[in-house]
Amino acid sequence: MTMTLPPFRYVVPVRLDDALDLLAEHGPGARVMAGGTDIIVAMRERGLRLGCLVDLKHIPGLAAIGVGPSGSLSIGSLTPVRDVERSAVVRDGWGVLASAAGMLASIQVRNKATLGGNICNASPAADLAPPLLVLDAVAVAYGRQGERSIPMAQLFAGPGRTTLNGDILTGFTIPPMPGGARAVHLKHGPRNAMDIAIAGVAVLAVPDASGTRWADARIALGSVAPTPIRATAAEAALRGALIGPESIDEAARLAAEAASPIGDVRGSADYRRAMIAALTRRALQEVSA
Amino acid sequence: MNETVVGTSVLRRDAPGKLIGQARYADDLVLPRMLYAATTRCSLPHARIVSIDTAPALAIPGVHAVLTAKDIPGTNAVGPVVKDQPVLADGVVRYVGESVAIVAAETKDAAMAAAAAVVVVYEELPGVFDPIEGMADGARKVFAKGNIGSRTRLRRGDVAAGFAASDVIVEGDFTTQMIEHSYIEPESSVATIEPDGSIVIYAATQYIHYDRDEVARTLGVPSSEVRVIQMTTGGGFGGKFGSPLPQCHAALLAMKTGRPVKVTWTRGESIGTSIKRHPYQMHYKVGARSDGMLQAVEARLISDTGAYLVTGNSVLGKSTTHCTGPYSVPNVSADGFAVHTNNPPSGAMRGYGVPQVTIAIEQVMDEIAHRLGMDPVELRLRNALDIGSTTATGQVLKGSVGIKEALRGAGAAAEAFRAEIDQAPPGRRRGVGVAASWHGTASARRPSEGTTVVNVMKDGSVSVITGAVEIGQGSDTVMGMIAAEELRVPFEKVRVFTTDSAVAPDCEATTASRVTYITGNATRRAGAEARRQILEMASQDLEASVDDLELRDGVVTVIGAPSRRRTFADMVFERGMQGVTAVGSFIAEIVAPDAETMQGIPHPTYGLAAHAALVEVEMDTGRIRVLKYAAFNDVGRAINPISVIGQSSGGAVMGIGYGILEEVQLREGRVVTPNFATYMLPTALDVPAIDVGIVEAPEATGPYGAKGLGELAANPGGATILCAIRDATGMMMTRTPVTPERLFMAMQEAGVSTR
Amino acid sequence: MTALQNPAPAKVVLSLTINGEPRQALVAPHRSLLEVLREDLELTGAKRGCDAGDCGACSVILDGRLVASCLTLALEAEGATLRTIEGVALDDRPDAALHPIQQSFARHAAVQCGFCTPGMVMATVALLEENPHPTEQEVRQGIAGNLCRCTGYSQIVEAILDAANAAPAAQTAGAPR
Repeated sequence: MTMTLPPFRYVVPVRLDDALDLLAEHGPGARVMAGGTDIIVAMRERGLRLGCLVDLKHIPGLAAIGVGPSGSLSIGSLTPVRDVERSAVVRDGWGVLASAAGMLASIQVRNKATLGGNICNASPAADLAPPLLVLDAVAVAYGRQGERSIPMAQLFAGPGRTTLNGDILTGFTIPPMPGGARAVHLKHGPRNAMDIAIAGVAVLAVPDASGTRWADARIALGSVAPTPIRATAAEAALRGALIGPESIDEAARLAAEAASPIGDVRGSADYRRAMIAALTRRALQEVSA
Repeated sequence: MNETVVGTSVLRRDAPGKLIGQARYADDLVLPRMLYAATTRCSLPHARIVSIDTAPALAIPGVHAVLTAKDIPGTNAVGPVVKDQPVLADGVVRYVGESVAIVAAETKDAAMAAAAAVVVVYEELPGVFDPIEGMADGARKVFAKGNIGSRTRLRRGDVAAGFAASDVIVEGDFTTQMIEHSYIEPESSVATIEPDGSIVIYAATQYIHYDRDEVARTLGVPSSEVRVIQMTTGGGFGGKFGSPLPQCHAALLAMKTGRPVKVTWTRGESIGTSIKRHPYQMHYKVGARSDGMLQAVEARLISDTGAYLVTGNSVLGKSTTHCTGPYSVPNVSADGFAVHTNNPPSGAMRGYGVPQVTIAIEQVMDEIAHRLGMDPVELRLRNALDIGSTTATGQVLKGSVGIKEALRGAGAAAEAFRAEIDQAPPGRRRGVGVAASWHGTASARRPSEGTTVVNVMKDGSVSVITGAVEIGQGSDTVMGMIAAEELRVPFEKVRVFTTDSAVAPDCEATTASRVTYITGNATRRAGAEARRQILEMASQDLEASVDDLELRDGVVTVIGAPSRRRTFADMVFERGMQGVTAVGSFIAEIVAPDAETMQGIPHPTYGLAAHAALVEVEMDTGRIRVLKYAAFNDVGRAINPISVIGQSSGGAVMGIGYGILEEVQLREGRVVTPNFATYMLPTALDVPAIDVGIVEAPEATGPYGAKGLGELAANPGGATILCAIRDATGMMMTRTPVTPERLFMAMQEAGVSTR
Repeated sequence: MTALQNPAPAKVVLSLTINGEPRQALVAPHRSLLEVLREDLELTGAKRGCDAGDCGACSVILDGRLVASCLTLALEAEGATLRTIEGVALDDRPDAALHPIQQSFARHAAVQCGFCTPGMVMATVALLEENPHPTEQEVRQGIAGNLCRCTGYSQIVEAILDAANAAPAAQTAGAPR
């Protein structure tokens, strides 16, 4: 850990095109910065050295939360995590995202960290990734070719890597929750605050009209693979199955099978896999209760 | 008890300054022309230093000095008990992060760049990272003389006979982890050279005179040339006594450059390279009769003292003398080994070897209770020490043994907790645990001194000058209260000065739960002596017996005849005096434990505690929540009750962290938890309100009956949580911290349903 | 790597409002807000406990948001309104210089070593402005990002609850005067 940050240039574009120009100008030593809560720690503790930080916070419109005519939520990438947590719009329509936001680090960090920053770091443990995955969020990116959409499930390329390819994430479009759907995000760590997840599971489930079978179920896992992932086999097993302990246990088993965790200071691979089963089971119990 | 100040809750006078951000800590200090220091640290756990090239560092603009071991003019070895830690590594490095070179530069940026530019060539040596391995024949050696740095041997009675008389014998192995003090203020010191060539150091510290002497030895100058001034210190818990490296480094650089130099460690340096709490591996064998009465305790204690001993022998000694817990045991045999490894050095930390043995003995006590079908609190009460009991060192306790009262308090709390035990939500189980501990006040090795000077000024206000520094726990307030009590002045008229080694008498360290007891006694004696002198003057002036006089706020009156009075101001003015100065000293006498058997009187008195907790375990994850906690601590007498409550709460939470959260994790000697994201302290959301019960079994030799609390408060916490986990799950956990993973895996292995 | 060959970038003038007063400093881009407060602006109340956003000792209120000043570049605060511990006390009231929150901390012995205290007070100010009458659980959530090693939090929580009950809802701390 260093006493001071290593030197870098700091620029504050006010237009996305200017930001792209600055990134091009400074080459691989340049990085965009949103809240900065991770990049500053990466420089102090993990040896990251940069030539230029391009702070996006002064580009207008990137921190807006709104609901479009189709009922979709559009939420800017620069929205502070604390605002995601507290937004009445998000809480009412996409509560699982707000609740996951409230579990990230501390208020001090949530006030600065942003939704886009949490995702673009592409940490396997990103708290906001599992809920965005089960909500079928679509990332919106801006680049030289203009705007493009990237489904959440295709956004992560590996630990610390995304498919943005130099484009700037400007926000997410999140469709409205399906009728009758319930969603929950469970984060597991030894403490009630400040933890980086040992494992995290988000579940969104829709019962059929009779209320006895799963019409749809989406399960996303955090901290147990090179990137946050969807547990597709578990989801498939649930679809059409009777809601009850049998289908829940089977989904939990399949979700754990989908995990490919590493062991580190927070927990062993075996434990993480077991936690995926436990959290998946509990999340499915909660949404079906 | 007819005191008017002592025993009332007094608000500390340093609080407002701390609350408005004006209290001055060492890192807040900026002196003209000050340079910033940085440290070149080795990245290998064990290596021979082949060469050091400082030229590239010196070539960086703004760099004024780069020093290595060869630049130390005095002695290159420091340590509170054993001086075996180099100020700068000389020839060999023995742990990752050991300081090899120090630099001073105009800016922190330049200092950091220079520290990184020092070229050190190492020849890597094999390391030893486990003490059991280190003890084995033919083990790789940390020191040529061998890896066993210290041994203890305690023998009392005949354990074989004790086991023969036992109806139940419990054996178990227990492992406790390395933890970090985690004072929120990292280490910091500023050194400056005075115009007369002497050295002044402004430091975050627990012992100004120790720092003074170590700096003097390092520089090769008399102690009189060094003055250490304590800045407001942001917590210590033993760690700011354990090693004076920041002070020595700042002094060396200031001497070299002639300019003020600030050393402030990063959190990574603090967690990664400072002194730690010793990890222990313990084997216990304990026998009891069917009525619960303990017959024998056999213990083998192995501590990992890391690269250096510093206080490791003394910590091991305290573990050994406290290995039975606060119980009367006729036959005790204990063997301790402090073993060197290439892990970071461990040393003094709040508890000083007692939290470790408390984890072990209290788990064994619960197992005995389980096997005998006896209530665990009842088992403890039957064996609890009492007045007249003999400890494992053969010490007969003469008074102030409040363990039974503490156990009854904790037992009642546990009963109340038990009423909620069935309210666990589905998938969770609750349990209640009670654990007890004890802690000898002050050093066990030799007598321990405190001295206080009390000045009564012409206007009747009072200054108290003593060397036991405040580190947050509230000792300055206690000293002021004692002086106010003895001199019958309002607390507001007393100022306490403890921070300057050039002025304050050496009272030894703010460690070992000793300040209230030892320096408190000294302050009381100084205050009483000043009062005696004042009454003596009035006795002459009023032609009355001292016994008939009453002193109150600078006025002496004849009892029953208040018109016969003398003011302090008049009495000293007429005598041509400038006030009254009195000195009080107190030495805690002990009988140092015998080397072969550890029989002796290691401590003048003991604090005793029993704590209770209600926990809830998430069965499918092993996650533990502490729902309720009650701490009953026998402090002899609570001089400042609100402060006793604060220290007790903080100690309890530190104990909870020890039990289930905190661990300095190492991989081949390398700390892999160098920040508070990975080294996990309890947050406000992880602990309940701590219910504090103050037990007062007066200690005849203590000031107003008081004895030590600081360490006692933290000793039982870890064990209490483990006992509660056992109650909830049936699992006797033998390795701390009991993380969710360890508990979950243990439950799975034992076939406990984790659904 | 090309990035490392860049010479140290030039310092620029930072202008912001701190505790109601306009302040300026000449700072290099890689300096944190915490460093600039402590080393350039002589505001040493915010403490450097971890430099990683894990301890909360450096908490300040930046444009109305409680943030860790160690995780904030000084230049991010350009043009901002900043409140620090130095601005919390009601020093225009000579009879009671301490803010009611600070008074409550003192009264409940919620201060021991004091190193976490400035951050705790700032977190409390932010909490009570947002939620003037929190429950105990909400208080604990409000200070969960502030580590304390001395008190075990009990007396701090009591102090905050007491301050909340004693304080009128509209009160603000350290607002520009």
